[in-house]
Amino acid sequence: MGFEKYYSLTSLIEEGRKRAAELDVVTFDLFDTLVIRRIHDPDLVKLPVARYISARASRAGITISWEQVQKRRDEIEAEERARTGQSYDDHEACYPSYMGDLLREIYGRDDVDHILEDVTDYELFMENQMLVPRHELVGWLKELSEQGKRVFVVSDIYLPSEHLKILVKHAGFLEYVEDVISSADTFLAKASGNAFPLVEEKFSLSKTTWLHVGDNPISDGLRPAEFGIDALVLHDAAEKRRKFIIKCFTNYSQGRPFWRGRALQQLMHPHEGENVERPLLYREGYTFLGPLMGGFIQHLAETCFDKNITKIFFLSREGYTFKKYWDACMPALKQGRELPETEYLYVSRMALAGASCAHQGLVEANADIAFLPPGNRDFRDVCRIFKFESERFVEHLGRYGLSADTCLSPNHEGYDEENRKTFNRMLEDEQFQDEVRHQSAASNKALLRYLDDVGLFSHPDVAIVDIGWLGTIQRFLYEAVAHREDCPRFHGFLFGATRGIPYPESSRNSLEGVIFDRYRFKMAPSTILYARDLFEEACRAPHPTLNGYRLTDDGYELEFRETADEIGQAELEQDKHFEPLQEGLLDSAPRFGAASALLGYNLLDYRPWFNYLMLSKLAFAKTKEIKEIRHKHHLDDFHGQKKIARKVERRMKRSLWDSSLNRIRFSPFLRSRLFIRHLVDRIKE
Amino acid sequence: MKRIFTKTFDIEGNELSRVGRILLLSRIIPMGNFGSGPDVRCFITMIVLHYFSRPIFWLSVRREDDVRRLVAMVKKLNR
Repeated sequence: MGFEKYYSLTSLIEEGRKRAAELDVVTFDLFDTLVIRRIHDPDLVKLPVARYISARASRAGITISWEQVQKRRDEIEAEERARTGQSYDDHEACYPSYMGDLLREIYGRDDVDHILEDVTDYELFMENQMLVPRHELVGWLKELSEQGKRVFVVSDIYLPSEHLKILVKHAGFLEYVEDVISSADTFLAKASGNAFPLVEEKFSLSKTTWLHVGDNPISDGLRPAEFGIDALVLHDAAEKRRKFIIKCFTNYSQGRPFWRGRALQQLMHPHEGENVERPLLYREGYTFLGPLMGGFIQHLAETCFDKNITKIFFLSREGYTFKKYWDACMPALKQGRELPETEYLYVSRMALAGASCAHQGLVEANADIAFLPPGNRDFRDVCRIFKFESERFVEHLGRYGLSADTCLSPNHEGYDEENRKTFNRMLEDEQFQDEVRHQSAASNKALLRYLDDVGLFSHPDVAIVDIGWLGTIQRFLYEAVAHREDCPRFHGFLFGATRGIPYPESSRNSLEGVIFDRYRFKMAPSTILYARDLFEEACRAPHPTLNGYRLTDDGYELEFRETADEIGQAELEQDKHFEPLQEGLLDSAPRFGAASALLGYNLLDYRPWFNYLMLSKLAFAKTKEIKEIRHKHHLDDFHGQKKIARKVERRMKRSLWDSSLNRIRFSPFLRSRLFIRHLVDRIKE
Repeated sequence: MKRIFTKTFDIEGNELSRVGRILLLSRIIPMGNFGSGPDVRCFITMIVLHYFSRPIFWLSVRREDDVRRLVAMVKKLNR
């Protein structure tokens, strides 16, 4: 009897298969054998648990830092190991025992069972997030089980077998295993060799037909050999290399903020069976948009905790993806804190525009917003956006020498600045505004009924989350409800804030661009302006946009846009094209949550790496990336369909993401030239 | 169709070589804040680990005892 070392999984399994015919029993080590950890050091998984305990204690009015929690955990565990060492050969510890002691000490009372249960759930959840089954080895384990061999998992660890079974079940092979044995239950470990006689006796095993597989040359090699059973020991060079790389990234990230985002991405990587071949769009969703989105969501959560925001409204349609991302990453990131309620709110600029005029009328700033998109030209476009009947304004327009077709946008041929000034004067006309209020009253009433239903007025502070860019939806929404006494404080969070029209901020209605904000001069995040539509399309919900709120006798109805026309069909085609991108983005969410909780960093820490990511993927994107990622269609009703002036069209086509593929591929130093132009534009701003 | 995690444990489509190119360019064109950058020594270490460390680890698992002795000797000399 003896043990042999194998330097790759393939060679170990090959040898195992050769011996299989003579075997009745195979015992496997669990950690670093059947499952690997994404992180190099298993102790790092304890840190988010310390943060969880600290936050949970703080909710109970106990102030203790997570570092203190971790220190006491280590000390109490060490004391228990020392005590065990007096009676047993192995210095083992049992998690429920020492964690219970720690919680009793922190809370200063004996009844901590339900807290221990929650802490254990979180610890096992974090372990599960960090564990990945080794595809090939688990495949062989299943094969052995199906051949009728008795398969056991034996581990030296502080978690009792009941907890290990949860991990094994999550890894997907519990049903193939006869039992899971942990040293925490008996304090008889593989390290001393005492675990093997215990297993032999408990399950009536024969040494001659027993093979043990593990990674530790002493516990899984020498000890079973001394006991008289064969053993195969895995010494996987590739796995050691992978761990060393993540170790370096994690260590460097402590001194060099640039590496924090890279360490995060290294921890988020799929391994083994998860790392299958994917299309480019999926990969970009997972490795580019996913981390950015995660940073945004984490910042949102932290601000909600700090400002005591009790409800988050994710605005349709991009909020659909934000909410899904939130739901997937928050179980790891909340770390003992109470999460705000969340709601997906059906809104759109078109649906809210009219409703926002019911009390204040049509204000100049809102008219300016209507004329921002180059496709909008005249008062008919204003009526289309705000859902007014243009015929009923003919008389008012006539009084000021205007007509519904008078060009009011500088983006079109025939624009006269005087006409725009006259139009602005008309906005001060009370008769005109009375007509505006009259026409928008019904949609405002319907909107208020809807907002009552979703609980907007039941919270003093709410977060309003949208992709960007001017905050128009939040502006319209606030204007529609501001007259109510129970109107909550709005805390707006935009993925990117371009601030084309100044936002009317106040103590009751604030707006913040999280990844990019034009009010903060940050060069790299401003590259988001290269491809704003990409972010919008990637996050868009798979349902049509909302057209408006219809008042009914007993309530309201949400009116969605038909999808049969050209715009609707183009949207469907675009959604289908971006399906893998969105899938990759959402698949990254739980990994982001776990990795970020483990590293303990936040958006501020990730910013240097995110800056690099945005520069590399937006301003210096490869031709094939632009070809694959850029949107095919980006149309909406707000933008209008009028033909714009040629010089405006030419200006729009100068950007990298709107250029032809030949120009992107062959024009010398195109990316650098465009980036310098972008830089100059930002400085001029 | 490619895997996200490459054989060299790097990110497909965002390899360290690309990081290096952008950082070099940032020396010529001001690009923004990289949080004091990656540090040349760290960057070279990561390049070596990702692209050239395979034989080192291949050897180290086979000659573990020798490597351990060598590391101990280097540590002693450094002291």
